[in-house]
This record gives sequence, structure tokens and C-alpha cells, in this order.
Amino acid sequence: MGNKKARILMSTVIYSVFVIAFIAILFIFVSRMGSDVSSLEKNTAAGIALMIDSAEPGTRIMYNLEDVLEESKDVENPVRIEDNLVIVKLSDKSGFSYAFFNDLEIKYEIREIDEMRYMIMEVRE
Amino acid sequence: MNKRGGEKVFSIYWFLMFGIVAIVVVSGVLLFFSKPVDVRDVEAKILRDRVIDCFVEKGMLKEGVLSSVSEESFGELCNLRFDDSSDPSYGGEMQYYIMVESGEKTFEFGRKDMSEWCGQEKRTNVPHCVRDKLVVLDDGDFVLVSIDVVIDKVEQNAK
Repeated sequence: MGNKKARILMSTVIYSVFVIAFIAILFIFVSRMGSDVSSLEKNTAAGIALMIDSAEPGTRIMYNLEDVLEESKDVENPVRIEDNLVIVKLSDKSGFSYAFFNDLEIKYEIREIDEMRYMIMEVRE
Repeated sequence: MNKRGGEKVFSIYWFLMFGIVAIVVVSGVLLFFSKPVDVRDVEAKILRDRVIDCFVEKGMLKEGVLSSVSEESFGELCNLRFDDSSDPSYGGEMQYYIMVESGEKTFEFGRKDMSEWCGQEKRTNVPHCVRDKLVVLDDGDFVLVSIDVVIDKVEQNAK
């Protein structure tokens, strides 16, 4: 009887460990796929470019870069605007740039506000 | 009934079930994240609105705008620029086409061969077209203005 109870307990424990490990592995896999650097670069560059495209002169845009800059690996100026290109480069081996069609002057800086880093852009004529 | 044999069959069933769940989850995630993000629809609509704001003011077509604007003056008139060096594969080729039509007056800008892609919105690896029509006043009369905006940038959005 004792042996039977011990066997049931053992099989339940093994089964539970297996299920938890299975769920953990799936969760880690999904998380890694979601934080893919190249898609982060693309989404950020395109997002900033579209914001600039839709901006009128005198508009001030604050774009939260905290999640993006956390992924950058010792790259100087990982997010910048050059001419009409938004360039996001989070590592030496990756990078993405997207062009905007708004022909206005864009002044920008990356500033920390309340422990979060923002890209602050001013659109001028 | 042989309980041991029953337990082994039960275990195989559970492993099979977990295997199927794992395959479904992995396939779904790979399918979702491998699909490229396409921002051209939003971009084309923003460009359409900018062009409308440039040609129409307070519901009226700006006087003589369709007659006087040219491909050379369009960018400066509407504060737009269309050079794109973001992807080397573009080779400096124009990635935009804009057409504004009102009655018999038509203005076209950019790569005119891209106009044929309008009406093929179900395909993703081709230039993306946004069409719109609006009614405005021109010299006291209501006129229909048609506007087509086509954006290529396939390499950055659909591949």
C-alpha cells in the first residue's frame, strides 16, 4: 500500500515537473522570438519616420526609447536622424533605416525623463 | 485488465498530446513573427492627407494649383521630399507615385508605371496603393477630386 502511494506520488511529481518545464521552455521560446533585435530596429525606425511624416511645423514629439536602447550593444548613437533617414542600429551586425517624406527641419535629442529615455524631436519649417 | 500496460499507453498518449501542443505553439509563433511588418498603408494615407492639405484649403481647391504645379515644383510647394537612400537595392529609384485628378486636369508625380498596381491590394509583395475621392469647391462648383498614392518600398516592408 505504501509502495503504491509512493509510486503515485512519484509519478505525479515527475508529471508536474515535466509540465512546468514544458511550459517554461515554450514561454522562453516565445519571449526570445518577441525580442528579436531586427524587428525592434525596423519597428522603431518606421514608427519614428511615420510620426515625422504626419507632423506639422511646430510639433514636438516624444518617443519612448527605453526598451530599444536596453537592447543596444555598445553602439554609439543607436537611434539617430540623418538627412531624411531614421537610422536604428542596435549592434554592429544589424541596422535598419527608413526614409520620411516630410521636408521640414528635424531637431532631436535623447534625454532621460523620470528614469526613461526619450527621443525628443522638434519639427521646424 | 493489465494496469501496467494501460499506464504505458496513457503515458504515450500524454507525450503525443504535448508534442502536438508544442508543434502548434512553435509553428504559430514562427508564422507570426516571420511575417514582415508593412507600414506602407499608414504611410500612403499620411502622404495622401499631406497632398490633399497642399491642394485643398477649407474645402476649396486652391486656385489654379492643378494647372500650375509641375513635377519639379511639387516637392517645394507641398514641403515634401522623395529621395530615399535607406536601402541600397533601391539604387536611387523613386519609390512613390502620386496622381491628383479633377475633371480634365490631372497631375502626376513619380514613377508612373506604379499606377497599374492600384486595385491589387490583396497582394503584399507589390507596391501598395491608396485611392481616395473627395468633393471640393472649385470656382463655386462642386468637383470630384481623385487621388492615388502608390508606395513601393517592397524590400523594407514585404520581404
